[in-house]
Amino acid sequence: MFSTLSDRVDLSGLELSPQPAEREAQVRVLKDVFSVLERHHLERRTPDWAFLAEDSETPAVAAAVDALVQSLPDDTDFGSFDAARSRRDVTGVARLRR
Amino acid sequence: MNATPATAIRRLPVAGGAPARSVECVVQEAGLRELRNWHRFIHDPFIAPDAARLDRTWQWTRYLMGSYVLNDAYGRLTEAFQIVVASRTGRSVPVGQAMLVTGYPHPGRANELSTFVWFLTSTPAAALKALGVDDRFVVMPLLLDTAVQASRWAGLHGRVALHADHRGSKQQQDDLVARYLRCGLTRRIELKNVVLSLFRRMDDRYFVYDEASAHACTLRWDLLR
Repeated sequence: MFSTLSDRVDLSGLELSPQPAEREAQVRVLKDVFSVLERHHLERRTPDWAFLAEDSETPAVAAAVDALVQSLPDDTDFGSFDAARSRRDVTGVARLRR
Repeated sequence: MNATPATAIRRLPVAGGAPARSVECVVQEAGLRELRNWHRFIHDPFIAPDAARLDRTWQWTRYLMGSYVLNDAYGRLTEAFQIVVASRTGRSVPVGQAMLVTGYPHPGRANELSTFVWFLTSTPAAALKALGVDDRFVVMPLLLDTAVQASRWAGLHGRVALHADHRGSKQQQDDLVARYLRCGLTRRIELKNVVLSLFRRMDDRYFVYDEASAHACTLRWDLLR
């Protein structure tokens, strides 16, 4: 159904702040991420199956995700069943994509 | 082989129900918000305090974002799905959820890709009751059915793989293995010690659906689509 498994990652969504201090902090974070990725590729590491949980629970990732979660709209439950039903596409799945 | 329509189920069997009773369900994608709600309304109050649950320490929101970062770079598709039913008041209530990553090599067939089931879990009965759902449901086989369909949607012919959690007691691990086998998954014991990389060998805890067993698995549930 899909010609590729995943769309490319669109890095154009990473906007740098016009504020110099904030911009410097953003670049520092991205530099850290790229350093980690490069080290991984250079070492050709094949991680154990626990890697996803372990990496996702490192303090930096946990704090960033928790901050993102805090910014989500508040909900009092899982929403209306009829609304979920109405979002089904041809595969029968209620998709989040617009 | 693949005569089964690649569509998600629309009905869910009631566990132990009188002859094949089922209720309407929706298989829905879950993003950060849906997984946050899972934590808020189900995981934190009902799963985290239960020492018997292997998933009591899982952090779904972090795993989703972590997988986006770690797997997108390799062109692998991360998706989370929830199967939801209606409460007495018409609200959605997830009965289980899974996080899938499509694009890993199929165990034992390195040149072919499959959908890997990273995490799957079901809602405790006490949580269902608290959220206004009185029935209990057959969940794990239908989450695996969703994984097979996700594999088909990506053109991978239903190939699915998972690695059984090595945590928990021996009894918990044995129960998990027995449940996977009951779902028609094949344990690839022969892969034990096969070299996976310079630093790592495979173990005997890989379970798979190949094309034929995926077909058999999903055929069984066609009446629910």
